[in-house]
Order: sequence, then C-alpha cells, then structure tokens
Amino acid sequence: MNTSRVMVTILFSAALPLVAADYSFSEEAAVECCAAPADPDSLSAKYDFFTNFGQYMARKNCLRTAEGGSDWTWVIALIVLNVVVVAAYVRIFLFWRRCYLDEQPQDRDVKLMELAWIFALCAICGYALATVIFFWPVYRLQAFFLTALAVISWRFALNLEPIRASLSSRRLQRELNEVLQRENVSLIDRQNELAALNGTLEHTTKELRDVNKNLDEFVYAASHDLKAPLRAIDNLSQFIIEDTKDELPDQARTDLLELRGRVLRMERLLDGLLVYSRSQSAEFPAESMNLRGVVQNAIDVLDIPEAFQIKNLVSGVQLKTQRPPFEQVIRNLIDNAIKHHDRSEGLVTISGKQLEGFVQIEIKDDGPGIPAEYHERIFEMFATIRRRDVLDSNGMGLSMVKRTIEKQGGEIEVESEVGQGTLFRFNWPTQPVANSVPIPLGLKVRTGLTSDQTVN
Amino acid sequence: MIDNSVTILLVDDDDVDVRLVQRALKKQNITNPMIVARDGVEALAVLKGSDDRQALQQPYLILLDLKMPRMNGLELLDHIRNDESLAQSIVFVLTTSNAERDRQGAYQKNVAGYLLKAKAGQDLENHMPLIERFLDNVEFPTSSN
Repeated sequence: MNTSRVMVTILFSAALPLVAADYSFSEEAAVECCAAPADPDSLSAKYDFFTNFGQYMARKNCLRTAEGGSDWTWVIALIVLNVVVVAAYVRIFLFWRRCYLDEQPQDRDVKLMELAWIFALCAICGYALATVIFFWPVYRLQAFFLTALAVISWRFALNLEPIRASLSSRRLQRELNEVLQRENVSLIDRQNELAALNGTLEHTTKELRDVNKNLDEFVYAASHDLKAPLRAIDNLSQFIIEDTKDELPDQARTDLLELRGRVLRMERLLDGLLVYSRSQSAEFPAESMNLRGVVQNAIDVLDIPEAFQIKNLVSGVQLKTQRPPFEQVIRNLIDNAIKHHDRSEGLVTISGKQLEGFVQIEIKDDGPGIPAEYHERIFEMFATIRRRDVLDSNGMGLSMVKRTIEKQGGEIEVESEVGQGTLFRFNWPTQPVANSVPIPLGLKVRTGLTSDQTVN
Repeated sequence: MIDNSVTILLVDDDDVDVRLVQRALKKQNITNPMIVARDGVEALAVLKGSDDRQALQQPYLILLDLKMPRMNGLELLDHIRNDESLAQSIVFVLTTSNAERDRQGAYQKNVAGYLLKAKAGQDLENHMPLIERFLDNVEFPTSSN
C-alpha cells in the first residue's frame, strides 16, 4: 500500500474545511439549506462532488433545537469528543507505525501493519469524517474511505492465519524464555563442571610441574652422586696402574683397563640420562629461521670424520619453531648415521621441504641398514642393536630424538633394509605445540608411508 | 720458575679427588704448599683463621669443588665475595658438575675459571699446565693486612 498517498489524502481532507469557508452556514441559511439547494453560483454548487454539489446537508443542521437552530451544546460536545478520540487514535497509529519501521525489514510483521491501516481508516471513517460532516457533508468522500476500508479489511480477513503468530508471540516468548532458562541452567552447570575440571587440571598441572621439577632435581643429584663414586673407581684404578708399573701381572692390568672401560660406559649412560631429562623439561621460544641454514648449522657443529660426506639438499624455506630441540634432532640423526656406519667412509644425505603446517626432513645414509625386526626397537631407551663395548654409544640417541619430535607434535619413521642404508624421515610442526596439550589423532601429520615400506 | 709462596687451598670432600689433584700437581712438578679443606665451613676456618690457627695469608689460590656437605662451593663463594678481607681471593672451580646453573652461578661470583674434573679421567691432568702457568705468570693480590 502506498502510505504517502494515503497520508496526503488524510491531510487533504483535514485541510478542505479551511478552504471551503462558504460551507459554514448561518442558522437561517442552514434551515433554508434543508429546503433548497445551494446557491448555484457558490463554489460548492460548481465543484463539490463530495457533497453532491451542495445538495447534502451538514450534520450540525440535523441536530436541531425546538427553535429550529443547531443544538450547539451537543454539536460542540460531539466534535470535541470526536477530536479527542481521533487524537488518541493518531497517537496510537503513529507509534504503531514507528515501531514497525524501527524493525529491520526482514523482521517487520506486515500483517500487523495492515491491521494498523485498518485501524487508521476506521478512525478516519468513524470519527474524523463524522466531525467534518458536521459542517461539510462529504458523505461521498466517506464512501471512498469506506471502500478502501472494506477492501483492506476483507483482504486482511481472508488471510487471518499469519496474525496468529503475532497473537501467540507472548506464549512463544514465554516458551522460548523457559527453554533458554533451562539451557542456561544446564549451561551454568556445564560452566561449573568446567570450572571444577579446570581447577583439577590446574592442580594436576601444578603437581606435574612439581613432579617434573623434582625429577629434574633428582636426575641432577643422582647423576652427580652416581658419577662421583664412579670417578673414584676410575681414578683409583688409574692410580693402581700408575703406581704398580711393571709389578702388575698383564692379566691384572688388562682387567683394570677393562674396569675403566666399563666405568666410562656407565658415565656415558649417566650423561645421556642427564641430557635426556633436560631435553624433556626445557622449553624454548619459537623463532624464525631458514631451514637450510639450521641444517647446515647442525652439520657444522658436528665432528664429522673426513671420509664422510654430508650432503645438505634441504630447501631454503623459512620456518618458525623452537630452534634448540630441532637442531638437536638433526644433529643426533646425522651423528647416528655416522656412528652406526659399517665403513670408515660414507655419505649422508639430508633433504627437507615445507609442507602444510610442518617441515619434513629426511636423513639418509649408505650404511649397513637396519633389519626390519629392529625398526621398532631402535627408538627404545638404551636400545642399541650392536654390542655396547664396540660402540661409543649410550643407546639414548634415537629414543631422545623420538621423544623430542613427539613432544613437538611430530612423528618419525624409519625405512631401512640390510645392505640398503637407512632413511629416517620426520615431520616437525612449524607452529610450536604446547607440551601439555596432546594433539588429537585426527590432526596428526602422517607421511602416507607405512613402516613396512622399504627403499628400493 | 714457580712462585713457591703461593699457597693452594684445595676444598674438596672426596678423598680420591684430593689424591687425584695432589698426584696431578706432583706430575706437573707443582710443589707449592697445599692446604686441604673438606667443605666450605673448614675452608672458611682456614681463610679467616681459628683459635688454634692464623688466617691464611695472600697469596693463595683456591681450587674449589662445588658439591660438598655442610657448606657447598657456591655458598662458600658467597661468603668469600661478601667478606672484605677475602673478596679478592682467586678461585678456580674444579668440579664434576657441568650443569648450566652451576657454571653460571660460579661465574656470577667471579671465579677465575671453571674447570671440569673429568670426563674420562684425563682432564684433570690437562688442567695442571694451566694452573702452573697461572701460578707462574699471574700477579696475585697482596695480603690486605
């Protein structure tokens, strides 16, 4: 419905009595008016279609006194009451409309606004025009308004169902409120539960931190206290060898040297334990670095035998991660490849690339290879598959590598076959992962290779 | 020439370690007088003097172990640095501990050097030429009293 046009119509009808001043008759004229048509020269006789060109009679003339004049007391009373009612209606309508327009277009209830228009037209037909007609008998205009009212009312009346929503809005709101309240209660319950859980978690975290700290202290103290007598044994056996010189039987000398060898191994184990415990507790800030540079750095730090060749084929991408553990892993793996090589010369190739959210590093050697049955065991603590005294090894390297990688949220796997060399491949997330938050399995990076696949 | 007047104060609770240092010094022909203290408390008594003994006079060099009962090396260092009459003491830490916190703690208390006793038994002897050159070449603080 074109609201502005309706508004103009209303304004027009309100203004008409002012321009049509010649409709206010004197009492005598009014009486005459009942008997005779308007003066044919008057404006109304010429133009006023609404009053049948002045033939209709103003209502004030219908309220007559015994003397034949208008009953002004009641005319004025009716007019005042009409105006009062119309004023109230206008106020209601304007408020109604403003509320309607204040809503977002998609939230506006058209049905309610139609009702508002019906209400407005009722006010116009019933009270506004009734007032006007006291002086200006525009019954035909009233007919137009009534037509409009009839059309709109019937349009509304024939489609009543949508108004039900408006009428039941209170109930819907109440029901919604009840549901919300219930939800709220359960939400608060959840919140309380969560807060309790959080408390427990905090407590556990603190306990864990304490335990870690204690463990750290313990390992530190133990490694010192265990090493002290060990060193004493070593020193004393050295004193014996030095002091006895040639008096000592060869076998005894050999045994003493053997004894010192075992002491040395024990010391390495303790050192390894210490490094291992530190690698588990240390936290470093993430820093930006060049992947190729980090690998080169790790290579440069290592004491690599001359006969060994290390090829750095890593791409020069930037990454952000905790540097020390990352470097340590690379160093350990290269060191491992050299240490466990069966020849005095060899080639270690390191390649690496950036993938979605992590870098993938491969460290490949041309050493003896690892039989498939040992692929799991090599990552266990203190496991080394060669005789211990043959090797300068504490058996901690790969388990430490694995733990360090997994702590970061990555994975390591080995591909190897006897005589074919060994390839270690690991994924290292480039966004550091807090160690207290386990990575959901679904998010874990996988290389798509299974451990039984081998290099050809 | 070794300045024989520099006294070496060895603070260590381990008999074998004491013997080890003594043997190593002997091997290097360092014949400076040597006093052994078993822990920080004993060392402090030597340095400050006690009822039956005069305080140790400069010049002296302290070889200090860290892990000791009663008063450990770092605690003794605190006492030394906070005591005006001892503050200029030259101290070498001689320890088995390679822990970062010990190293840092010792250097924060202005030690002349942090020496590791041993990895494979040989290191201590390797330190002796250093000690010898130090005794030989470095001017020691003079006695304050």
